[in-house]
Amino acid sequence: MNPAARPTTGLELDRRRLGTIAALGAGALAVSACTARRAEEADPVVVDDDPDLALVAEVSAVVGDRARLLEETVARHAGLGPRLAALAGAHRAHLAVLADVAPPAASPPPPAPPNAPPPAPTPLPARRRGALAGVVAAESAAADELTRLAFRARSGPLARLVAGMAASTAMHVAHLAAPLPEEVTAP
Amino acid sequence: MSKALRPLKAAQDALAAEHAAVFVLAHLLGRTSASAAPDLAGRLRAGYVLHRARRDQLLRLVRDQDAAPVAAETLYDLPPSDTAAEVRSAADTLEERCSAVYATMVGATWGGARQWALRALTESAVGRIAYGAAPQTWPGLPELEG
Repeated sequence: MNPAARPTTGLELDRRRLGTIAALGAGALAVSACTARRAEEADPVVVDDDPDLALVAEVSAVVGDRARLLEETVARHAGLGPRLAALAGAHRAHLAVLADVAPPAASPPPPAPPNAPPPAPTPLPARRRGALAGVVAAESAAADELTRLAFRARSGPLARLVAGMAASTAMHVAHLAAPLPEEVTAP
Repeated sequence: MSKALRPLKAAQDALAAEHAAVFVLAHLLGRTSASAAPDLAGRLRAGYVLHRARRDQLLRLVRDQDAAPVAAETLYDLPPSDTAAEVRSAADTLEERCSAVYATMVGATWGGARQWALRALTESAVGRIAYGAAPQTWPGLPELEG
C-alpha cells in the first residue's frame, strides 16, 4: 500500500470517526453499545475532479437504469409492487444522494451518438416469477458494476459511498432471491 | 498532524474487529444446537470460518507493512445468547459492525486492499440476510441509514 501509487487524496476522516472505529475493535463488536454516528460526523463526499464526476455519472446511470426496469416491472406486474418496494426506495435514496454529491449538470451523461434511435423498451417476461428473476439478475449485475466503480473512485469517501450502494444492492439481491415461505410450501 | 485515516490504520481497525468477530462467533456457535437449529449452526460455522480467514489475511496484510498486528483482547463482552433469536440478533449486529469497518477500509485504501475490503463489506452485508435482517439502503454507512 504505497501512498505514492494513489492517484489522488480524499481520505480525510475526522478524529471522532477514528475514535468510533477504535471502540469497535476494542471489544465492543458484539455488545449493545450503539456505534451509529451522527450525521454531522460523516465525512463529506466532495467530488471535484473530472474522473470522479464522470464516475458519479456512471453510478447514476447504473442505478437509474435499474430504477426504470423496476418501474416497468411493477407497472406490468402490480403484484410484485410490495415485494420490490424496499428496493425501489433504495434506488430513490441512492439517486438522491448522488444528485447531492454531483448535481446532474455537473456530471453530464456521455453524449449519445448522433441520430441515435431512442432506447427500446425493455422486454419483460409475461409471468411474474420470470419478471422477478429478471429484476434479481439485473440487480446482481448492477451490484457487480457498482463494486467495480467503487474500486475505481479516486476519492476515498466517494469509494465508500458507492461501496455502500453495491453492498445494499447485493443485500436486496440475496433477500429477493430467497423464496418466500409460501413459495417453499407451495407444491 | 494529518487527519487522514491511513491504510495501515484501517487494516488494524479491521483486524481488531475480526479478532472480536472470531471470539464472539465461537461463543455463539457453542450456544447453538446443531440438531435443534441446523441452519443457524451451519451459518454460524461458515461465518466463523470466513472471519477467521479474514483475520489471518489481515494479519498478513499488516505484517507485510512491517507493522505489529494489533493483538486480540483477552476477553470480549458477550451478547445475550440464550435463545436462537438472540444468537441471530448478535450475529447480525456483528456483521453490521464489520460492514462499517470495511466500508471505512474501502475509503482508506486503494488497489488490492480496497478490492479486498469491498468483497469483505459485501460478504458481511449479505451475511446479515441469513440472520434475518432486512436489506439496508446504506450498509456500512450508519450516518446515512435512517
